[in-house]
Amino acid sequence: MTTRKDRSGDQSGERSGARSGRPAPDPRDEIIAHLPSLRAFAMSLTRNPSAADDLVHDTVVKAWSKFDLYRPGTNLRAWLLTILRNTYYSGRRKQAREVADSDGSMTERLATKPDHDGRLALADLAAAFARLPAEQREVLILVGAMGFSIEEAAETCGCAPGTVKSRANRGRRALADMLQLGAGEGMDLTENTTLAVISAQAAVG
Amino acid sequence: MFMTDESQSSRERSTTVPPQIERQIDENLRLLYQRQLEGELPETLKELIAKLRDEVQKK
Repeated sequence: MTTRKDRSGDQSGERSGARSGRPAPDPRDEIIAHLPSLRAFAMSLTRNPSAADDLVHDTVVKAWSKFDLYRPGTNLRAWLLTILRNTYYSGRRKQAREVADSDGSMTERLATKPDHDGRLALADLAAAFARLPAEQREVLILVGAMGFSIEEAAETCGCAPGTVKSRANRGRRALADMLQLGAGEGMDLTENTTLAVISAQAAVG
Repeated sequence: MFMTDESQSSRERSTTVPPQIERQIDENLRLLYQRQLEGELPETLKELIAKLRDEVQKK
């Protein structure tokens, strides 16, 4: 929460520090609290831990140096995620490696049928998720995993809400196809069941 | 060629999954995301933060 003194531009808090003996906290410290979210989002985009860390590194440097562009009181996490995704796509355009797969024609079914028997292994989902185009991965993480509203996701991604909905629908459709999920299969995908699967797998090692 | 409302709605319907599948997918995506959140931050990022803070203090 900024005070009148902070709004005057005295971000180092020297004046308040002289009075209280302690420097005012740097508002940029809030960026640190969002590092885990940034990293998780970067992983969903890059699908590579090393590339994700590099992406977060670049994002933090940009956000730190351009923090004056952030409007206090607005969603800092969304602002940071926007910088991150813009950095990712800029890098991708330079490399021009990935081909957009808007109609899902390149999406293949997994080589082996997922062993769910009523339980969805997270590893199967992760593998299938990694096959989606980046544009679908990012909206699914924002909307499906991070709880962003369609409008918030649209603002973060710099596109229309209808585009977010469309990409999310296509992404879920592709996942359902790859994982061979269908209506009426009566699968139990509750969190407790999934966690039990993870625990069992962890115990086995 | 114009896309009529009807054909557009029909196309959207063909890409949507049933609500229960949507919920299941989202729930599991949340779990995947949570696992990522719990991971330890790499040293490189911790060092970066320390360096940035150090630069601020020097000013």
